[in-house]
Amino acid sequence: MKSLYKFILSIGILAGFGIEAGAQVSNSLYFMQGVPQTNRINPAYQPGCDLYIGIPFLAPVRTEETSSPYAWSDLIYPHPTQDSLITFLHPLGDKEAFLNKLKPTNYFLSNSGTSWLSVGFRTEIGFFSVDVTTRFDGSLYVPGDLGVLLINGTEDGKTYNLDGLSTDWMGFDEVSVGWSGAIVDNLNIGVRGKVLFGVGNIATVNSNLSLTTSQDSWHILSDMHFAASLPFADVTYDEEGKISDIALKDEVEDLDPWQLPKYAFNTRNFGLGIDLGIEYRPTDNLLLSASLLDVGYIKWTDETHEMTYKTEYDFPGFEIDPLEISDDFTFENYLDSAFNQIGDSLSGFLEFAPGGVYSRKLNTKLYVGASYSVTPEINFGLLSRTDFLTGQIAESVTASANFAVGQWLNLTLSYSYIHSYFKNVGAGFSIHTGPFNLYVISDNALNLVFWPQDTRAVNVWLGVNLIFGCKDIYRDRPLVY
Amino acid sequence: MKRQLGILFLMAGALLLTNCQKEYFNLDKLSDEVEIHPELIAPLFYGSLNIGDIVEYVDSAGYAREFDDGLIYLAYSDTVVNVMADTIEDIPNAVYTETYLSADVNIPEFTESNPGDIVHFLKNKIIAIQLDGDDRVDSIRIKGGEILLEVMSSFKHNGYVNISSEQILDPRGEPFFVTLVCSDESGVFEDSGRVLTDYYYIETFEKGDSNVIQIDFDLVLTNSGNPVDPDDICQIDLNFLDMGFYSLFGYIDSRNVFTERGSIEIPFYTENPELAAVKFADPRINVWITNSVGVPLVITMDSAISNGTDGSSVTLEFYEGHPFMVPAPGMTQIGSAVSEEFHINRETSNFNELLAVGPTSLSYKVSGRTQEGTGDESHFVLDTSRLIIEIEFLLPLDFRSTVIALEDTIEFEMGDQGIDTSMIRQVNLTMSTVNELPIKLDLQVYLLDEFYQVLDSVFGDNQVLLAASEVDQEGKLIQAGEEENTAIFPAEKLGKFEEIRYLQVHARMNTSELGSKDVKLYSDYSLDFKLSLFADLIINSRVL
Repeated sequence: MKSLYKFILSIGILAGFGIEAGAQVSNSLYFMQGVPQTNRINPAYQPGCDLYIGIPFLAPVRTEETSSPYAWSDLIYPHPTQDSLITFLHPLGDKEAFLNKLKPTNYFLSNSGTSWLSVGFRTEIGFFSVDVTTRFDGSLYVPGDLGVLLINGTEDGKTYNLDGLSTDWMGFDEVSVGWSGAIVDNLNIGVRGKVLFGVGNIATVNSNLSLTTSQDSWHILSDMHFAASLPFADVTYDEEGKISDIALKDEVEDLDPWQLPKYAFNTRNFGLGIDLGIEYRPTDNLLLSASLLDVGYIKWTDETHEMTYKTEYDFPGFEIDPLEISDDFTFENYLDSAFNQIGDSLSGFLEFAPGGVYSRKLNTKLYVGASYSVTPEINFGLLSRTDFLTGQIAESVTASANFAVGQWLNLTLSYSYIHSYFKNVGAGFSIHTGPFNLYVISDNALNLVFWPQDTRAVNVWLGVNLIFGCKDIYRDRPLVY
Repeated sequence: MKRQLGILFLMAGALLLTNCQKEYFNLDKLSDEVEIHPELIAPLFYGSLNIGDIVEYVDSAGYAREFDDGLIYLAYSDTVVNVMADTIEDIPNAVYTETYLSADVNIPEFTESNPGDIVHFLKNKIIAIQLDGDDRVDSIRIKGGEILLEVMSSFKHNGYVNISSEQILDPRGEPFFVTLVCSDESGVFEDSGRVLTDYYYIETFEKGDSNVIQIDFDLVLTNSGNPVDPDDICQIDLNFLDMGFYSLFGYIDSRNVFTERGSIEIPFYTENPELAAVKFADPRINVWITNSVGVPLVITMDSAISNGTDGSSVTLEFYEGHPFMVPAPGMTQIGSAVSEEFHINRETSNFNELLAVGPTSLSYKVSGRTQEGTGDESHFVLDTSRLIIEIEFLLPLDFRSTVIALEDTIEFEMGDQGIDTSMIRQVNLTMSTVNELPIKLDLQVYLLDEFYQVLDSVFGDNQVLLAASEVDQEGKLIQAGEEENTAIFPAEKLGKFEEIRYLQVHARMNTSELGSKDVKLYSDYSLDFKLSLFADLIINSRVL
């Protein structure tokens, strides 16, 4: 169990790593004007300036945290009679409402990233971009029956389906080169090739788990397989083949600048990816577009470890021979022995093994959008985003209104249906003065202002760029860019 | 400018609304109290008790055993008689005297002899070895003992005496022959000598109605020239002392050999007087007699009395088969023992009446005699011969019972804390049993306070804990009985546990089909049980 604990702890380490990196993909950005990094969402997009240079680590910083089942107000809300807050677990909390919101599988996502380098420039053959980005994608999948089990306990004759109880955490560095160009006058296409270097990963390869409870027996059926690549850690195995210790390597813990690059650009965890985009303007006012992002994988080979838990275990109770109980072997002695035996049996099915090679795909996203320009300063957009997660498809739809206030300010307001939640009102702005460009966008910005307690997802995209070669373009700006 | 004012207006409104939502995020006001009401259903324990194992566990004194077919029985046994050969036969000490008077010496051969001449005076003596009654000795292999020879002479002549017997053989098989100086010229002579007789052999011959041996005396005097006075005498005493026997052949006359009294304790009834109501199908007393004495015996069991728990008693009366005639090993079985088994049961005695009082003990008097009129007068007794009589009070667990009511009060204390009911709304314990025993058990446990007042009970009314198995006409298992019971402990009942000082257990048992037929308990019968738990819990962080 100690090993399992440490295994889980390593997830926390990776999570912390990712959260510190910060940043995300905002739907509202898709139709936002004046933001060079819009080409991250659609490689066919060409920024309006000839050259942009992102400020390292600020162009952009993005993060997205998503909870599919719950908003803050599902967990914490005012006491019905007193001036205080209570959790859903409080005696006056509504646990049934909490459980009713659980779906068969519920997920919690954390995606973030920041770019060390973000440069784009226009040439005669199209617009090129080069980015070096550290990304962290994490997800936790929780079956609804787990919540029922923890809160309501065990019911006679019920099977708790815990399939899909899993987690995937992936930290990697992405070096990408993008190109966007016009095929014909009203059709742009774009492509971005990516080379990926895995920093660390914990992946759920397979997760089938069920528990059937009755007064006659508890039946556990498990077929779980987890894999991890932890190059930054020393993993120690004991004599029984169990993981006994996981500790950060000294050079990582000391942040040795000469050693860190080999972890950041670890060629033994190598991957490839590609983003594709297309923009088609059938009329001057209408723009149709689509993009497919993060089609790719990372092959994890460095410092890999596997953990499997495969069993069909029936617990009919503790077998007891009352005649064995004596002054020399008391009932307490018996219980100690029985619990140890069960613990050994259950942990005996837990197998660890170093080595092995496995691949994990990136969470692919599909964007399909259309925008209509009412005036050169105002356009309206409609966007569909589909996230292809592990065994799940998450759909969101965003409608946005985008405004240009002179040449120095671009604004966007958006409304999104994200993760079965309707009240996502987003906003963003982009300020351009001189060579400086600053933008902040969120699909949930107004949620945070008006009903933060009901928000299930938060994303923020922030960037600072130096942009050049925009003067002519602003002067002779196309209707939509 | 208007647009910019509009934006500012919107921002101001947003700030206002944000303030309205602050109540959700003021975590200083967040209560940390957590309470859930989970239910827990789970199997707890299961097992199987083999009746043979149970009996072995309970029966630390080793009273329970099993027949070859596995039928369990209780046996309370005792060795009531264990007599050795010397109880049956004994060789008494004896003195045999031969005397030479002056008249025996003043014979012409001596009176006419010259000084220095040697003259022999021969005599013999026929002696019978005396045992008890009309016992007859054919031969004896002597164990230990001695022959003490004492001589006294007033003859004033030097002389010695040769004592011999063809019937007494030394360990080498040579006839007994001893020479003893018995006289000297002073006329005052006394002396003695001894012969250790271990492993000497005496074989008698028949003379008249007796079996006897002959001892020859040869007094040899050397004429000293002195006269033989009229009162001169030479006396020779042969003392047969402290003789036992390795073997003794002959005839043992009829006589009482032993009388023993004793008592067998029967804890089965002492500890469970209620079981007097149990009717056993085949109770019995087995009498085991082992005899290596070469004499047939007759054993009489007098005054066998069962003493009941209520002070009543019943005397055993035999209908047949008593007294017990015990055979002896024959001449071809010397050194071996013959065993005989006698049974006292419902057919041969009033045994049922004995059991009806729930006997806590069985007192007895046992006596043994050698048998008369067997026509065989060739007996033997070895020093290793013995007679052993063992009695076994035996209760095969083949029985029936309509109702056995057991009640016991035992001390019980949960401690000062009792059971913490703050986290429990109700606990149910469900016991499922599969019972191969042909016994039904109703159980109720009452919870008593320090004044023996009933606080509550564990089970509901008419709670059957074990259902009896179904048996055939021979009382053997056909189908196990199955039962499931649930003891419900709501929080208020659990709360009373703090006050409990005693548990009063009431149990009612009867055999299958309400005790209408005999049932048998075999050691391979099992009792399977399964205990499961249902708990309705309240888990509150404030009381953890």
